[in-house]
Amino acid sequence: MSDHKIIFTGTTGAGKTTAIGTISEVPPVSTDVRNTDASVAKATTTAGLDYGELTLDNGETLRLYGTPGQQRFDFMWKILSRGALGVVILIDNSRDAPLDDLSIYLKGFRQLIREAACVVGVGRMEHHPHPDLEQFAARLEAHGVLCPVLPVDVRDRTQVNQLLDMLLLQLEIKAESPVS
Amino acid sequence: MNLNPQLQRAAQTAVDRVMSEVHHVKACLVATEDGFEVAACIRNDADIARLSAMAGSMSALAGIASEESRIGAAHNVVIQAGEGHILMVQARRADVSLVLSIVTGGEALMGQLLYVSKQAARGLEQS
Repeated sequence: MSDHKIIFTGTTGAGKTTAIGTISEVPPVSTDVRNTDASVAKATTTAGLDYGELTLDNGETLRLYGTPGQQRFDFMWKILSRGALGVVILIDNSRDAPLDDLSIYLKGFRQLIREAACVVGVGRMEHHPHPDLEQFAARLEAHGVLCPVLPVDVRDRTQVNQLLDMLLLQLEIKAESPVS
Repeated sequence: MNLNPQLQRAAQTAVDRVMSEVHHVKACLVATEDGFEVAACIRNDADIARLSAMAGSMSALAGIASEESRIGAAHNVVIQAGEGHILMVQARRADVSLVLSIVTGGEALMGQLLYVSKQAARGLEQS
């Protein structure tokens, strides 16, 4: 059996901790601390990492690592990216500039995205439909990234699993047609 | 981030105490547990904002490591590097949890550093 490391990143409040907790088979590890940033309407925030595990049908284990969302913790992004197979970027569409939020993570995880796989999940689209998925796809293209982008409710196990399915599908395609 | 002036004064007092009582300190700062600077004094080119964020992450990781190992709450983190030390001490107040971080040269005495820093952190908790 083999283990694979998957990263969950994205904006504060997008649901990284929740997404991992939704699908993890083990009690998730969380390093949430009290949030003192008044610009973010959250009681707690992740300062270190989140961790969970998920076993695939083929017996392989996914080790799920969540990053802190804020850019001031970008050193954790680099640490957690080491050895990862792919990254799930979660965006909160109720924020002021979701497309610019996406750009932050596309830049922050540029190397991992180039070497591995990426999928973007956009949350709260039912009440905040703009920007739409086409605009997200255009922003991805502007960064030279071709990857799936889909709406997600991170409280729904099926939807979070769908994100992982899309990520794993990309990895399979890459493995079958390696690019030099 | 809105911190009350009394807290900021208390944090600066803790920083000043460490700076005056411990030899070979290169930087000393107090940060919130979510990584924001509250007070600082530096004698090198340390990036205080970055060090504040790292103090938050390190303390959070130490907290979960000690919790998962069932050895109680983490009190401090010590990094002993080739040319110096970094000590991060928790100061848990009712209103906010803080981390007192000290960067020293290799000549600093770890015992003195631990003693003074913990005294300063306790003072910060009780202020």
